[in-house]
Amino acid sequence: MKKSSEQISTVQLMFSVACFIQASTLLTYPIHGFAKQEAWICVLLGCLISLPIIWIYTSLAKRFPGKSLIEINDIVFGSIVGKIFSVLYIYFFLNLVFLSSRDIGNFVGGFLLPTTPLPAVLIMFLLVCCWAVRKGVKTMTSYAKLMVIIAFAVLLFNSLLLLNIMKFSNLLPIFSLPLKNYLEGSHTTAMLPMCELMAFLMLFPNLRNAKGSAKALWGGFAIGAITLFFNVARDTAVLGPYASLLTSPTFLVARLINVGTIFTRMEVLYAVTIIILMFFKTSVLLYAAVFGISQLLKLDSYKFLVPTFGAIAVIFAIAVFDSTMYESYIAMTGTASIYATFFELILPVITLTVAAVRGFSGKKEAVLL
Amino acid sequence: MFRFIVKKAAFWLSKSQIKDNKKEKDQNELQRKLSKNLKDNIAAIKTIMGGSSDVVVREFCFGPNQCISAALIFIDGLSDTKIINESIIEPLMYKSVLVDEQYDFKDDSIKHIETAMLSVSEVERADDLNDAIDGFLYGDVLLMIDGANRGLIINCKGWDKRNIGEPSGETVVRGPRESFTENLRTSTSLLRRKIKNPSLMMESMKLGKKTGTDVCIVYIKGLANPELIQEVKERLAAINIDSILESGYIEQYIEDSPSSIFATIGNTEKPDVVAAKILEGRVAIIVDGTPFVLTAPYLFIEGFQTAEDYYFRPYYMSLLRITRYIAYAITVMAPAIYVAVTTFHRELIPTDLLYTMAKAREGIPFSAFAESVIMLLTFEILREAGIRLPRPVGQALSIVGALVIGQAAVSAGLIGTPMVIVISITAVSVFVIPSQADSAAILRLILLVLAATLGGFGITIGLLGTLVHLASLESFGVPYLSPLVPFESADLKDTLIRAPLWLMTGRPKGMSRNDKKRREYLVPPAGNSHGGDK
Amino acid sequence: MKKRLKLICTMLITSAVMLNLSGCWDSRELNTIGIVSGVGLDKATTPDDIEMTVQIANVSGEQQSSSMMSSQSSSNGTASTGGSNFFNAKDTGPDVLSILHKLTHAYSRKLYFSHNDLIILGEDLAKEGVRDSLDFFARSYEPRLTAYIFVAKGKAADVFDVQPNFEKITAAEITMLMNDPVGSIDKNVVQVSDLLVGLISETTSAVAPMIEVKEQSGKKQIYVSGLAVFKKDKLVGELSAMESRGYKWVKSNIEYSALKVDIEGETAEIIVTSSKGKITPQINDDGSVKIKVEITAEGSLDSQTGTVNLAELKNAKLLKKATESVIKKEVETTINKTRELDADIFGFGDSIYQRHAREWKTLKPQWDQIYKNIEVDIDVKVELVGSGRIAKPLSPEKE
Repeated sequence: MKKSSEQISTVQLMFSVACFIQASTLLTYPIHGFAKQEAWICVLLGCLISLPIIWIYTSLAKRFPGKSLIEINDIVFGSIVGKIFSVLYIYFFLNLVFLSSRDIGNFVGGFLLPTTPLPAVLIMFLLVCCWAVRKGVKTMTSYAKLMVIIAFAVLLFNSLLLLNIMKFSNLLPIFSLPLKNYLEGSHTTAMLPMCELMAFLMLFPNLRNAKGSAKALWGGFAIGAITLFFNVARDTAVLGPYASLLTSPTFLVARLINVGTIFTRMEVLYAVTIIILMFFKTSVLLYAAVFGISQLLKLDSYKFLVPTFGAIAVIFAIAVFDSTMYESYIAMTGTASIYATFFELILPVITLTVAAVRGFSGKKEAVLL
Repeated sequence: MFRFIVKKAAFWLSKSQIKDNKKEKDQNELQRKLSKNLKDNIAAIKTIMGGSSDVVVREFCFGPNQCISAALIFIDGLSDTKIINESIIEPLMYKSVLVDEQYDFKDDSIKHIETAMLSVSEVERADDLNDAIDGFLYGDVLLMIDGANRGLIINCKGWDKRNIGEPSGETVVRGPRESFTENLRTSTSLLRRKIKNPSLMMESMKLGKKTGTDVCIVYIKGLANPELIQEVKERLAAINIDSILESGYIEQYIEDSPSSIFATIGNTEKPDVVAAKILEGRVAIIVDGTPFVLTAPYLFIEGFQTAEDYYFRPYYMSLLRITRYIAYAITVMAPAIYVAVTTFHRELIPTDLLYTMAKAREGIPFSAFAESVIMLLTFEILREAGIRLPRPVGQALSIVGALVIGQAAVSAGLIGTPMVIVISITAVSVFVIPSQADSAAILRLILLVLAATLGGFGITIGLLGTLVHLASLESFGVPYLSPLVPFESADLKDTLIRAPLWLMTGRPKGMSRNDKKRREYLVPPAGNSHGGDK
Repeated sequence: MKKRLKLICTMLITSAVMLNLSGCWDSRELNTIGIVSGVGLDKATTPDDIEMTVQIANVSGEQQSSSMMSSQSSSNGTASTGGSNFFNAKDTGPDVLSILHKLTHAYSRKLYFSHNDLIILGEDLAKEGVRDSLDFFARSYEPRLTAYIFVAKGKAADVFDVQPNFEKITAAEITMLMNDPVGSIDKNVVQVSDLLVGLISETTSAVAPMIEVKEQSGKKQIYVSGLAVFKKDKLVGELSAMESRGYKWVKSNIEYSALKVDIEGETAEIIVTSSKGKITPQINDDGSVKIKVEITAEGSLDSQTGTVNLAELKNAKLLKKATESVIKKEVETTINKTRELDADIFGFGDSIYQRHAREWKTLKPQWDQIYKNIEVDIDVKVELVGSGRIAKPLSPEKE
């Protein structure tokens, strides 16, 4: 009864994935930093790299329809090793919750409320996230489509107003940087925004049509990737080499809008959009973590865990970096993306390989059930 | 979250009252069957009624040689005395004389009187005291005859009622001007006149232990979702309340989220609106004693739709509908945005405007937040006073309000001019969307507090919280925010804009599952589509 | 159930307390800020220090002063006041932030930079380098990157002492002056973001318009013309009004500006309604670099001297040719001048980098030498589309 009422459609999931990736338009600065004017190439390369990784996720979902990542681990590795894997995943999801909360905290602190203490911002932000997570997956994903449309509209509107100061020659030259920069840039693109959608493996049990998971993931990925690409390309075209210095190029770009002194100060639109998108991303990640814990401990409901982990997230989001400089150091040295690679690529590959070796396939599983 | 507090509080409050309810022993008394002795019956009824002065007991004799004694019981003022005189007493007293003297009145007398003597359209039988008393309490006449252990309830309701008037709350420029009245039957007849279709169903029930109010569920069979009808009936049946004086009582008992500030059940006093809604597959609940009819499910966007949207041509109405959304946004957010922008995000104000606003703020002792709270409070006071006061005084009030608040407060240096403008536009915008005005007032305050503490971020957080809350709301199984959340592009034709009628071929998706097609897709003029090819 | 209630109550109370306590983080009422409308940066008399002049709109005194002004103007005829509409705060210190801190000791309101539309750099400071002074305007949260930037002839502080003619504040008057796209080809508009891009680039030199204070019939008057040329972050020279025109032809779009053309001994004024410049670098087989500059402009005849009908088709062609050569000459003048200054203000270097990144690596170290002798091919195309309200000059028709 409970499970049926929490079911979501493929389209809803697709837009949730899109919304999730769109949120990462906040964090394009490492890409700009690595690849300068060629950030847009790195986004394209990053998407290419993401393709096989997302294929891993979808084939995991196909082999175990209607199962969450935690349940898959238990099936594939048995209860003890599986639990170890699950703990690692949950740890990673929680980490992502901390990081994305911190990101929005930095954004708000850096551009909207410079002297407001970080805890105040984080408490309010995570309060809403917790509320959303408690309302369940169905509610959480129901507004994704609306948010995607809003985000798209804002991107389009802002881009149109920026047409007059865009210089497409800023996107040149191509392939002039050392190989290392491309690797770092595309790796960051693939790991930090794109493959974080591994969290959606925790939402698959709620899918009404279990076979739709791959479609939703690919569709959402495509929408999100297109948004990210246009966003990065536009920022580079407007700012040129200056983009690689900034901590939030997109926000700065919005600040530059001035069409006939009527359409100015569009940064508000962007700020509101990015808060909305980051809210969505954080609530999905929080759900993934908390739902994972409830499955790991075989609890009836995840809901009572939400406020606790929301509170933990506030504390860890503050503690995770001691300064924004440290954060950009982590991002710019590639530490963050290498760290993420372990969870987003290596662990799922092991899971999939073991599953293949032990001969789990979608059809078999269906018969067993 | 609030639900628990509300439940707890409700429990504590009601605890003390529960004991009293146990004392009701009259129940057994009422279940008693009528006896064959007329005197006993009258005495029993008189005891139960406690000698109320408006209960009329008319005892008389009829039949051959006036051998049968009988009694009519009715409530003075509820029954039509003309019908009693001409259609009940007259036939009994005069026509019964002609009956064969040998006829045995003892056995079948009641049936004979019912079938052959009373020239009244509707007659029912009452076997126990409960039915008998209910009969005359609802305005009918109870006829009891000595020797019969059942009474007859003869329909002659005839109390004074208000004529069908114009709706006071929802005025229109174009469209029917009639409104429901307090009388249930008048209201149902208004609906029946609009939808002359056998599938228009009206199911009655009585609710309220003490008031015994008539409630009527109206829907169109085959259009309304059967699960919805079932759900409405179940929720109505589950109401355990002593009195129902207005449809609001019912609304508060059957709504999905009693702890939400948003109403999930609609109300209107216009028959055409109700007709349109039940034609979309909704269910209407008419309550006796109030012209306000409930409709369910009720969606957020219905607050932005008016009857006139469909009567006028679509283009201007689409513009108006967008205006209503903007007005709602203004009334909810204007003070919050003003506070956030002036105290946090001054870079958003155009430079010249900033100079002007800064000039207007010089010497004002309160913070922008305090200013707006004061002004909002003043506005609410004025509004409330305007409604409560007798009409002639109300006009004086508005002058005082306009002068004192608008002029004097500014020149006295209490309030800045921009704030007066902001609050005025906020206040005016409320009246554009009257059905969401109550939630807007609360939302406005919440957002204002958030804006004063966290600026634009606070407003965004507040709006997100509202979105989460609204998205989780349901009204009888239909998502409250549909078709926006979840996004349903087919239903958008009647959401942000009002598309031409000939384009709106389907009924709203969430509502009806059966008869989805509303009308054929047809580009006017209607005749051309057939002859066009030839 | 009870536990949950407790939890929820705690959450509600904490958030309520938080909301109440938080009243004063970023919240600032409008009557507690001083709105900065212009900033001037000069070299201070003490070594290594800068002097900052901040023009602040005096909002509170405005009402009073305007009434004073009207009474004065009625008695005196010429209103020279308006001084209380703004005031200039000044202090010296090693950097912008320390000066701002010093100013808090003297002025009751917090200085607010988001509406600062104007930054003027003093000539002396610009010669020493502006990177450190501009860091605040690029990094801090408040200042906008769309502010206009100037280099003052002399001291920047002097500009702010000029009484405005139309606006209430000098800085606002200068901003309005730059907002208007219609005007002269001599007037180049540079925003902070443009200058910053120039500071980041390795070869492209940043420019900024020059502003000076002129005496006109005893009254001080601001005047914007010419371009200051930076090399890295230091001022290395300036282009006069005539010399700066080429920059605008190549780099920006000209709207409604007059151009004087000499033709057959007469002069004609062309109104350039729109123009566009494009830079295309070419690398020849021998490794030498050629820059192709294409300028397309559209305009119409606005006025002429003499009796030759320039609107006649044959003459119009001549006029077109003449206009093209005038533009070409203006661009050449500018390029030659910048060659003297060793400053690649057009971004030729960056354009090579964008199109020919591989070759650029070898060119970059010796770019200064290459720029001095670089072959620039200027191709101007002008379309004359109209001749104003009259089709013929104001003279008797010739037989």
